[in-house]
Amino acid sequence: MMKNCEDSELISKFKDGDNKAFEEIVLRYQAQLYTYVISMVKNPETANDILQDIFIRIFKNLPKYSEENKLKHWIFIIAKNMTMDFFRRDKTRRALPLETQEDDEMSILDTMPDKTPHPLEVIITNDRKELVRKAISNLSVEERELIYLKDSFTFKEIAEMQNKPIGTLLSKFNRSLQKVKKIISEKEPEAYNEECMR
Amino acid sequence: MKNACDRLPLYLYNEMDEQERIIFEKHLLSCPECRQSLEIFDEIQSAKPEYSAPQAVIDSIFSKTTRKKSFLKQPAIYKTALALAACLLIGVAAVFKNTQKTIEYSNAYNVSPISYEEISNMVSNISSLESINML
Ligand SMILES: [Zn+2]
Repeated sequence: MMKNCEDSELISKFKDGDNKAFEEIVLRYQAQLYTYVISMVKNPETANDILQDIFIRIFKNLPKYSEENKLKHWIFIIAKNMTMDFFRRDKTRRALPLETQEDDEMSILDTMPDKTPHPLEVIITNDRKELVRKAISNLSVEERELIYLKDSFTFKEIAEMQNKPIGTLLSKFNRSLQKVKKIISEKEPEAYNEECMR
Repeated sequence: MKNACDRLPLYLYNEMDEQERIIFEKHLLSCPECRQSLEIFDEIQSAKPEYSAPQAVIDSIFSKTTRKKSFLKQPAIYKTALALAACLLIGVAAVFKNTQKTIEYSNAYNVSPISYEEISNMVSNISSLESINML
């Protein structure tokens, strides 16, 4: 069964002309990649398009790919590049600053939020969860990216992939936690203060 | 103990070795900030949505990669069939156009359908064109 195959086996099967091996790679990574992309672009339709482009690129380049035990890394690097391409295109199209500046975020957040609820934000499970979700989606692209990359990689692996010191990633992660905390406490002051006073 | 707080994410993801973990857990007892961050982290983890790509997207990926039907890769018989279908369409369209131009609307049904001979002429034209292309 393909399901039990290691990534490296799937790659060599695919290189031998077995298309089912590629389809298994798609099924194996689609959810992780889709969640990762959607968390960054915050729009399901855009994520659909990007996900297709990612797998088409993987399909085209896999025959030349040689580091067979690092497929996941490679796939996520492609995913990141293609998502960033989208931001670049989107930026030129809309002539709006999209690479969020760390310091400006809070003020941007204050001015733009509630008028146009994002499709993802409309799905309400319960208020508190929803609030946390909103807080996450108000983080910068890079901060959101890190939070979602953590589902698939260790800090050490991400540091290697992004060629960054691990300390930088740790402080970015801590900063994200602080921001989420701050956003929640601003939007739900009573509940949060109560909790803190205990 | 500023440095200890910085290491919190490693603790959250269980990426500390045994010794560092024990030290950090001691820090946790004396650090309300880290304890609060830990709570926020748990909330993030349970609120964080996880998605799966819609089946239509998966199908579309397959149809653009592993199940891609390229016209050039089709066997000759399919090409011929496609060419024939195209001829029929063109033929019908041409007849229909003529019909509208020259014949009263009420008489339109009298127009004879395109003959097999005409079709075979068209097909042989296409085939000869194809064989020219192949050279
Ligand atoms: Zn601490």
